[in-house]
Amino acid sequence: MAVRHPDRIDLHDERGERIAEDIPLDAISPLHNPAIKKICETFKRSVIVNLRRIEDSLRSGRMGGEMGVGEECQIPGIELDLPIVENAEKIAELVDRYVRVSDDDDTSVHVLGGGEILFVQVPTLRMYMASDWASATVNVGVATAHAIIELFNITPFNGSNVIKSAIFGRYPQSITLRGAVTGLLRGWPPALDGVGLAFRTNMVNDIVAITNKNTLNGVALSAILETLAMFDSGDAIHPVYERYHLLRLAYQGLNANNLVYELVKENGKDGTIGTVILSLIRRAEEDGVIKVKETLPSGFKIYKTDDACLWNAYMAAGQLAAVIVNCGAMRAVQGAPATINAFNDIIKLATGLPDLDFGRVLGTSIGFAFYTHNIYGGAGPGAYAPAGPLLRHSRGFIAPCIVAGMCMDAGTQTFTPELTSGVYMKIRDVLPPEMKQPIKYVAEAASEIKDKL
Amino acid sequence: MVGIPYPGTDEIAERRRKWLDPDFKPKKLREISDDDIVKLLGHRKPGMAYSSVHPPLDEIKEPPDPIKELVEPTDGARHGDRIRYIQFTDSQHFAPLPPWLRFRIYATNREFRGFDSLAYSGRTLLEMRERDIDRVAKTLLETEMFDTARCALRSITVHGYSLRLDEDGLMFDARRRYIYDKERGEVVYVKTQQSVPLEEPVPVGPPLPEEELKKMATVYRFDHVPPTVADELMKVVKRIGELRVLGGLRPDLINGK
Amino acid sequence: MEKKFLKILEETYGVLPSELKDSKFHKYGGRRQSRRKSEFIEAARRIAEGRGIPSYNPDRICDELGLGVPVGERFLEPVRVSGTDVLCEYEDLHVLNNAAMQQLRDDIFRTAITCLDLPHRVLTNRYGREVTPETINIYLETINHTLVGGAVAQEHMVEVNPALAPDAYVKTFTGSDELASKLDRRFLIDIDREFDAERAAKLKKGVGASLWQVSRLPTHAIRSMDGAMVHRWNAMAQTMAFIAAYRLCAGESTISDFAFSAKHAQYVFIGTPPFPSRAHGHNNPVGLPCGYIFDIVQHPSKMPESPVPVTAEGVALEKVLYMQWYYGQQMIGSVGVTVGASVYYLNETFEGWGEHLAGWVRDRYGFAGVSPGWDVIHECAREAVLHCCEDYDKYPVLLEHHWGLIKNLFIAMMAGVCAAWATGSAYAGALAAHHALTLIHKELLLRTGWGGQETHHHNSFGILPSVLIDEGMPVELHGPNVPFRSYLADSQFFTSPAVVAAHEARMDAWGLSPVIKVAFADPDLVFDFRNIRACIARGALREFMPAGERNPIIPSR
Repeated sequence: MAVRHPDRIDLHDERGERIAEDIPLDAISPLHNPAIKKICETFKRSVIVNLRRIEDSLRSGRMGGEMGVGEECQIPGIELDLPIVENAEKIAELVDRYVRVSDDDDTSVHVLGGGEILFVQVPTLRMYMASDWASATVNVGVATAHAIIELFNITPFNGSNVIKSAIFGRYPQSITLRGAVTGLLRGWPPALDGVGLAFRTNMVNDIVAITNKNTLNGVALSAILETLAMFDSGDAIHPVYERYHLLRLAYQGLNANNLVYELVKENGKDGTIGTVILSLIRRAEEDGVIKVKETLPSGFKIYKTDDACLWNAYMAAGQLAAVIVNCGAMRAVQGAPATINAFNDIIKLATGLPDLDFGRVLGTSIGFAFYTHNIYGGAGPGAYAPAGPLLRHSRGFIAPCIVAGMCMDAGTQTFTPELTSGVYMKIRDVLPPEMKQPIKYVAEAASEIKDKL
Repeated sequence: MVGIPYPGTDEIAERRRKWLDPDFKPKKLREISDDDIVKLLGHRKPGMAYSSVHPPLDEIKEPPDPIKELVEPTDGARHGDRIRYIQFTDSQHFAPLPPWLRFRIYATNREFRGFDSLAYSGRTLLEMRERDIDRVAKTLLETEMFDTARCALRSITVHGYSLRLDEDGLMFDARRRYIYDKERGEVVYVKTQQSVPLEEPVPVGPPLPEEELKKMATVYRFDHVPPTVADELMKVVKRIGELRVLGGLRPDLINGK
Repeated sequence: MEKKFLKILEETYGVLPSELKDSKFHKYGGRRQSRRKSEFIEAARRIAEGRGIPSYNPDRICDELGLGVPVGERFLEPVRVSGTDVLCEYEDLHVLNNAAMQQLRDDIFRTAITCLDLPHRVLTNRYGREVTPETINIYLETINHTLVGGAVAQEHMVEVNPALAPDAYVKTFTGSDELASKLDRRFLIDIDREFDAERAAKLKKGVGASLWQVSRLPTHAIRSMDGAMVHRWNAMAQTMAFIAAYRLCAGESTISDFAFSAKHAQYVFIGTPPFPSRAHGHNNPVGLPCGYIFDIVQHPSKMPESPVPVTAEGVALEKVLYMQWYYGQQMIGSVGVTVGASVYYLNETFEGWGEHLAGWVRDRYGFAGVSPGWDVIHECAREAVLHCCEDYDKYPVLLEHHWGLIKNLFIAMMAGVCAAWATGSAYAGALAAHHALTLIHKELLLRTGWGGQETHHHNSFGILPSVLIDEGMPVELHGPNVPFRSYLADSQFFTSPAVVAAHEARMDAWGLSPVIKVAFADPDLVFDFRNIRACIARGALREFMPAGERNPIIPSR
C-alpha cells in the first residue's frame, strides 16, 4: 500500500494570509502536487539559447573559452559574419520544427530581447524518451546549429564545425558546457560530482531572479527544487524520510501554519537570532512538538520530542526566520551563513536536542561561512549552487535561507542576480506562473487535490 | 525577556548564561573617544563622511516584498553604508571572551542586530554596516568584553592567542600594534587593526589584574574552574552527540528519547 | 612519569614548559634566527641576481615595503622527529623540501598490482599453453626487461635509458606455499620472511593461492607524467612480456581477450580517479582510501602490549600523504597546512599522550575489548579531551608550540585513536574524534581551530551511520574524494588515524586489503615503510637518497 502521511497543514502566503486550509501533507508532495510537477517539468525541458552570444562568437572567432567571466580564446581565420539576431524568428521557426513531435504538443519557442534569446521548451514526449535532463539542452543546441547552417547555407568548408562550438563551447575536449546554450536547470552531467544533484545546480541568484526578489516565493522555489532533488537522490525514500522532507518543504518553504511569518513578525523590529530561538522554543512547546524531559539542578531543561521530523521542520522554519531577521536588519546577504551557523550552534545547547538535520546544517554552514569570508576562492553567497562541493552536504535546509538572504540584500554584493543570472530575468516573463509565485500556485493546487488523495 | 538556556551549575556556566541574554548590557570599564575608535578601526579618518555601497533604502525602488517590511533595517543599512569589520584576537590565557562566545553574543545580543561573523581559533570577525560597527565598537572596546592585554584588534597576522605572554603580560603580536607604556601604566596602540602606523598613539587603558580576569573567566581550565566540574554540560553534549548519530541514520530513531 | 615531549620542549625552547611569559619576544633575531630561512634568503638572492627577476625576498617585502608578516618575532622552535633523535626545522618538513616525503608518495603511486590468475587462465584455456613455475619465472625475468622500456616485439622500438630506472622492477607474491617455494627468489615478496607467523598465516589466507604481480615503475616516470600513466605503462610492459615469454601472436583475436585479462581485468587501483571538481586523475592521494594507510605501514607491531608505535607510524604516513601533500599542497597550494600537519609526528607528543590513553584503555576496556556504543565513544572522547587540555593548561609552551588549528586537531585525533583502541572500530574512533572536537572540547573552551574547522565534524554524526547516497560506507573506504571530506584541509584527518588504531588494536594482519599489505612489504622499495618517521627524518637531514634523478641525461656539475 502506498505511503500516506497523517499531517494536515494550513498554507499562508507572503503576506501571512491563509490561502489553503487543512491540507494533507501529501498534497504538497512533488509526487502529487500539479504545480510542483509543472515546475519540475518546466525546469527539465526548458533551454535558453543566447543568440547574441552565438552571433558575437562567430563574428569574432571568440569561442571555446573556459573562464568563468570573460573569454580567453579567439581563433583567427574562423570568423563568420552572420545576422543571427536579426533572423531570430526564422531560427525559432526552424528549431520549433525540429524539436516538435506533433502539431498539438507542448513545444514552445519564444524569441526574447529583440532576438537575442531563444527560450525553448521541448515537448514532454522527448523528455519522456530521454535518459536524463541534459537531453533537452543537447537537442535544442544541435537543433539551433542545424537551423543556422540551413538558414545561412553553411557548408563543411565554410564553418559548420565552428557553429557547433559557438553553441557548445569547448565540449567535448572540456567536460564543461560554456557556450551559448544552457538548460533552465543548469547542471551538465559530465561536470557534476555525482548523482542526484541536477535539481540543485541552479545558483541562488537564478532563483532570486526568477522570483523577482520576492523573499518567500524565492524561498518556496528553492525549497521545491531541493525537495525534487531529495526525491531524485533517494534522500526522500522511506516513509520517515519522505515525511521529513515534506514537512521541511511545508514549514520552511511554504510558510505552513504561518510559522515563518509569525516568527519574523515577532522578532523583526528589534530581535536577533537568539530571540528567534526563544520564540521558536516557546512556540514548539505550545504546539506540543517538544516537551521537557528532565530539569537539571541548574534549572536547565532537557527537551525531548516524539516527532523528530516535525521538530526538525520547526527548526528549519526558525532558521529561515533568523536569516530574514538578521539579514533583513543588515539588508545584506553576507550574514546568512553566520546566521545559520549561530542558529544551530545555539539551539542544540539551549534544548539538549540535536540541531537541524542532525549536525549537517551546522557543519555545512560553518564551511559556507568560511568560504564566503576567506581567501580560498568562494565568492558571495548568491553565486553558490546547492550542488557545489560546499553546500551539497545539507540537502534541503540551507539553500532556501540563502535565497532569502539574497532577496533581503539591498545591493552589497559583487555577484548580483543581475550579473550572474541576467538571462533568468530576461526569460521571467515567459515562465509559467507556478515558477514565479510558487506559494500561491502550490497552495491552490494542493487545495484542488486535497480530497482526491 | 529571558536569556538563552545553557546547562551548568558552576560559575563558568553562570557567566555564559549572562552573556547569552539578548538584553545583557556589559559593564563599562574604560573610556575611549569616538575619534580614537575610528582611528583604531582604520576604515576612514575621523570626521569623514560614511561612504556607501548603495543608495539609501528609501531611494531604492524594489519590487514589493511584504516580509521585508516586517524587519527594521539598522541605521547603517538604512543609509546604504559600506560593510566594515572589526576583528579581535583573544588570548587563551584568560581573555574575557573566547571566539565562540563572542560569536554567540554577536548572534544573540540586540546590540548586534544585523551582524556577520566567523569564529576562528584565536580571532573572531564581526562585520556590520559602518555606522553600526562604529556604534558597537564602543561597547566592544570600552566594556568588560575587552581586556587591553589579553585581547587585541587585528585584521591581519592575527596569531597570538596560544602564545605565551610578554613580560608585561600582553598577548604576543608579531606586528607590534600595541605596547605597554610603563610610565602611564596602560596599553597604547601605535598601529591600526590593519597594522598601519597611527599618527598619534591611542591609549586604551591599563590591563585588568589577573585575579579580575579569573573572576570574569568564561572557559573551563585546569588551573581555574576545571572541566571536570562541568557535569551538566557533559551530560547535554553527550546526549546531543548520541541523538545526532541515531537521527543521522533515520530521524524517528530519536522520537521519545 | 613525565612525558618525553615536555623534556624535548624544555630542550628546544630552553625554558620550562610551564613558563607563562616570554621576555624575549621581538628579540630573537627575526627570520635569521632560522638557519634554513637564512639559507633560503641567500639562495634566492643569487637566483634573482642571476636571472634579473626578483624571487623570494622577505627583507624587501616584509621589512622595506612593510607588506608582509615579520616572521621570527617569536622563537622559531626546532623540532624533533618522533621516534628519532633528529632535530630539524619546520622548513625541512615541507613536502617540497624533503626528498623522503616525495619518495613516500612516489613509491606508493608508482606501484601497479595485478593478479595473474586470469591471464594464466586465458593462456591455458584459450591458447593451450602450460603455465608452470618455470614459465612464470621466465615471464618475470622478461617483464623486468620490458618494464623499464626494453623491446621484445617491435624492431624499431626506442628504449629508455635503464640508468634512469634503477628503482623499477617487478615482483610477485602468493599465499600458496607450494608455488612460492618454486618461484625465483629474486622476484618474490616472501610473506613468511616479511611478517610474523600469525600475520603471515592470515595474509596468505587473505591473498589466497592467486599469484599477484607488483610492478614498481620508475620514479622518474611518475614524476615526469602523472599517476594515471601507471596503469597503462604497466599494462603494456606486462602484455609484451607475456607475448614474448609465452611466444604468442602479437595480433589475432585471442590476444585481445588476453590483453584485457592481463592489463585491466584484475588490476588493483592504488588511487581511483576522483570527481571532476577535484582536478586530479588516477593514483593521486585524493583517490586513496584511508584503509590502505594501515596496509602500507609495515612497522613491527608491539601488540598485545601497545598499539602506540604502529599507530604513530600510521599517523605520520597519513599526515604526509593526505594533509601535507594533498590538502596542503595540491588543493590549497599554500605553505601553512602543508607544514602544520607535521606536528603530529614531532616531539613525541602523540607518543606521550598515546601511552597514557593506551594505558587507560588497557585498564578499563582492554584493546579492542568493548563493542562500539555511545557510552564508550563518549568516555574515550572525554578522557582524551581532558587529558590533553590539562597539559595545555599546565604547559603554555606546549600551547605555543601547537599554534592555530593544531591543538584542536590533536585533541580530537587522540580521542579518535583512544576510542578505536578501545573498540577496535575505526567507525567508533571517527565518531569519538568528531564528538570530541565539536561538542566536548569546543563547549569546554568555546574555541576550536580555524574558521571552517568544525564543518565536516558536525556533518559526520549524521553522515557516518547513514545509507544516503553521498554518505555512509565503512570509514576504511573513505578518502578525500568523499564529498564531505573533499574541500577542507583536515577533512580526512581523524578517520585515518582511527583506522590504523582500530586495526592495530585488533591485531589485524591488514586493514582494507591483504594484497596492499603484502605489496608494500617489499624491502627493495626506496622509501622505508617499516620506519616511516625515521625515513622522513633522514629526508629532513638531507641524508635520504631518492630515486628518479635525471643525472644520466643531464650535464654533470
